[in-house]
Amino acid sequence: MKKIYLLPIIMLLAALPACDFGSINVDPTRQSDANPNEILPSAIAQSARNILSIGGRVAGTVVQHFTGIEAQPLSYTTYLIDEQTLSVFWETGLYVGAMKDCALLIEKAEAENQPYYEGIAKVLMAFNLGIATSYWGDVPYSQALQGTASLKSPYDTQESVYQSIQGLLDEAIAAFGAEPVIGGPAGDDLIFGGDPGRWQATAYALKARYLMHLTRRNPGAAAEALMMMENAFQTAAEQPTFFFGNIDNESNPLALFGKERPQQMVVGDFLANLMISRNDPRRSKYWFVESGRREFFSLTNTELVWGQRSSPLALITFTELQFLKAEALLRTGEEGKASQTYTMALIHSMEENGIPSSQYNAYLAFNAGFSGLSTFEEKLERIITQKYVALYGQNPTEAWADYRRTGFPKLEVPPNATSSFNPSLVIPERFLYPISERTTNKENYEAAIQRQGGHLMDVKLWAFE
Amino acid sequence: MEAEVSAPSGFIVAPVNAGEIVNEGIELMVGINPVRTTNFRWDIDANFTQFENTVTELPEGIEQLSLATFSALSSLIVEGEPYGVLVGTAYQRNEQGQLIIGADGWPLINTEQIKVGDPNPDWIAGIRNSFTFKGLRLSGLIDIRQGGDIWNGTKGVMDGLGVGEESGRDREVTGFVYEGVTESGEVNTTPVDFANPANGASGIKWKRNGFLGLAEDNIEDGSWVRLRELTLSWTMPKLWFNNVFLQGATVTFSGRNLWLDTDYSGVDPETNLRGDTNDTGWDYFNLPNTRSYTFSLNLNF
Repeated sequence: MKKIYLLPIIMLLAALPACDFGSINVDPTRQSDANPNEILPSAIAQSARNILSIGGRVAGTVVQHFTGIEAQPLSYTTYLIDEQTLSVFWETGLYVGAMKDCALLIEKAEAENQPYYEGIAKVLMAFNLGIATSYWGDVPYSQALQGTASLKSPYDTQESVYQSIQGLLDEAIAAFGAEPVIGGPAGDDLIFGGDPGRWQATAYALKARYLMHLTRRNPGAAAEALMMMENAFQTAAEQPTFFFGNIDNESNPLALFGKERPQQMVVGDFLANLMISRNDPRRSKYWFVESGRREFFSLTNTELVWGQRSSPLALITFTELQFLKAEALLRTGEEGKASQTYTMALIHSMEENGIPSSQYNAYLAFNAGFSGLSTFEEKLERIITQKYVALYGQNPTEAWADYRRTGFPKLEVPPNATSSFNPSLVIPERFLYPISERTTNKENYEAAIQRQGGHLMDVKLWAFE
Repeated sequence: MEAEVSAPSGFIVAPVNAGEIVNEGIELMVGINPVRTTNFRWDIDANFTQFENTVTELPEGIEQLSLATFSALSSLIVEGEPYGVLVGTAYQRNEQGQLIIGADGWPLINTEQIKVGDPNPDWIAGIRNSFTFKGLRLSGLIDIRQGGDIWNGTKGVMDGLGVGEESGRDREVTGFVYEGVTESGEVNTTPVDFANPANGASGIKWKRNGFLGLAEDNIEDGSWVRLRELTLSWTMPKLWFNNVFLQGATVTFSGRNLWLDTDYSGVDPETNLRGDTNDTGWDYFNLPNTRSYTFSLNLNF
């Protein structure tokens, strides 16, 4: 009798070392997979948040849209931006946040033949990759986002990352040209409700932006960008805007920071003085003064355009696109058109801030066009400086890229700046790679640092060198 | 355990079978009875624990496991280091261990976080003395902890806000020259003022290194000697209860945490931010131990 009882036990024990866990680790109360329409909303929302969450706040402080006056924001102003500062942004904002969603979406959309999902995911991937490479230069992409198949991703050179961005956008443009299929994006597309035409126009606009990032590297960048702009959107109503909600859970990240961390960050002196000196009518839309502080957020001051919880953010605005166009025209020798387009960009900025022409006409009289300017550099400075003002609250990352490739506006290193992470005390050229990469992906991290000649904030990125 | 993995993989953590740890040390317990007469008795019970632990192996491809993380400090499991080693922001030093001083006279911060402390004590001991005289009993427990680093984040933040003791005491210091060398290797001679408003926020010693301050600046020795407990009890003579309904009565008066001797600058080094967890040595506005007194009357029917 004993043998009969023992046998199954012995068999069971013998089977144990070889067994996989089967479905034992699958929680039947949870969804084990997600459909594209369940992934897309979070990919879009996280991408929009990435414009002005901590990455945007730090970049915005570097370009002096903001000044930190206490706690962590003060550290950004004093250049105490260390390997820890953007670690979480790299992780949950970019790679494991929006980019992981995009990678999943691309995989599913390609498998299920859903071209519009594929297109949107590729646009968003390119957009987030644009943030990553403009902050850190060489970043993982071509061999990244493969999950357990490769836990340690090598870094691509910045040059190849920009090629990947253009490639993704080209593939997206092609995907949006496909015939519609059943089950495509609709209400889950929180930006365009599934409209492939609008997305295609956005892809062209982003192509133009990332081409213009490389004006120092690619002599044909401006001409190519102008071609892309022909197919980009032509009105502000068509820009890829994400609308935030007027409650904390749905809030614009900048406003939420202002609410949760009062009296730590204010509008930067450089930006404010620039606007005050020109009597800029957008001032009251950007800040109000309380106890000597230029506050960028208020729950009650509804005049602030970019400091509301419901303030929208766009992947790229029509105003930015117009400034890019003006610069590209200037670079291709079309001075007259460049001057006109620049003035139009300035007017668009006034209008998106809700300023009536009666209030901005006086300003235009002194700031529109290229009158009084003779050299290319002077004209470029005027375009980029006005673009810098216009990008406030909407995209400090682009203002920083502009500064690094053009040197405008003429920022000065704050008197408080410290040199531990920026030995030559310049306006930062890049961020340090995150501590999490040093501790989890060391070989690739070190190879990337060595290839770029360091990663402290005074090391120029390939794109802007 | 959950190990942090490189985010570009698409994941932040992966479950791994954690590595190996070696604990070596001694534990001693002694009970002696130096005096014993008919009416009086003195007992001493003592214990002593001394051990060293070292993480000897981590899963392949994993360089560290994190037990807890703040921006300036982490409790980590790292091969070759004690369990829960404190790694955080620190000053830049050359191979001789000298501080590297920037052109402005202030010491530079290391670009990478490094080991700043070991929260594990060198040894701990407890000594209980009990004296019994007829129905009276006096008993006291002395706890000793030697070593074990603590990160005093409370001090870091309070000094940064200008309300800590050190920032109050030293704010008038001017012309201080840090001992160290410049980046080119020469002896530093550039003086700094600890808190000159004219130099802005980064001209203030306690503010220039960030909200939490530099972890290295706030690591302290967590040694202590404390009177954990003192109890006086009196059991009333049995004679008294011959003709009453009670059979006996005991009155006890006791106190806990009555006395503490430590060099730790915070309230009490016996504390931990996340309570009874594996990440030890964190003081960040923690509630201190409470001192309590108890009176009790025990009646036997």
